[in-house]
Amino acid sequence: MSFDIDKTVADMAKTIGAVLTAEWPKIKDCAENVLKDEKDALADIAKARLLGEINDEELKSELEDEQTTLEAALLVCEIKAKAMVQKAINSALNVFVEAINAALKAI
Amino acid sequence: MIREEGRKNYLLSLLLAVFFALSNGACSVKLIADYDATTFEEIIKVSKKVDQFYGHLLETAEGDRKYSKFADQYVEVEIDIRSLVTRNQARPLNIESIKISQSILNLWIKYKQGHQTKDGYSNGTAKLDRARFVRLFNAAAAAEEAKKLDPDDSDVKKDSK
Repeated sequence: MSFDIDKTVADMAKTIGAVLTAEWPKIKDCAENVLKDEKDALADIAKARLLGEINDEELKSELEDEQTTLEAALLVCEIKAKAMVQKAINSALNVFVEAINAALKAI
Repeated sequence: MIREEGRKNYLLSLLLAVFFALSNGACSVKLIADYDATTFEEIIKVSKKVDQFYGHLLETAEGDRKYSKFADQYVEVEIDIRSLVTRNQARPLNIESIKISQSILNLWIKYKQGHQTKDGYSNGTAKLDRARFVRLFNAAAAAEEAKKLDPDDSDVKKDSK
């Protein structure tokens, strides 16, 4: 039976690295889009106050709600990050299972 | 870009997670709920209803926006949003979507109560609130979409495609 644990672990680490490299830009884009939307929303609120379309009390309320909205938008990036981790772990598990299967076939 | 040191630590953490999974006899690890097409459709449907509500409200003259005129629509949409929250709560590993739908519900109730108290809804706040709901429902839809994983995710050779 030929099962090289050192090589298998190295391959698993390489696999995880490959998944992270491929998936990380999606998380980065997600966070950047959220911040861009937030910037636009804050600009709209500021404009509404400056034009007198909302008063100080309404401004305070809108800013509170904006915090809730920003949190919700960032939760999407959190799911994407979890999906990336799930993919990385399962890819590494797959490498391990394949290494075991190959060793069993060699018996 | 993940910094090199942080990246090594992250990689090590993931390897540890893999060994933890293996020691528990797991063949795969699940951290997020499966994609649910019905929930996605429901998000789009409720989002459209909320947008229609604001469209109708903004078409009504500002001085003629008595709460009673919109009460039925508030109740109807609130029921739909509650159904979305319940649907999300019924699915395991779904905490982020639960929080997003709960935030939508909380804001819907807040704006409903504001309308009721003032017996009016100004153009300024209505426009901002409408735009906010668009973003919140977009977040809810994107959260569901993010759970739609590639069936060949486990094949690392296809990761860089």
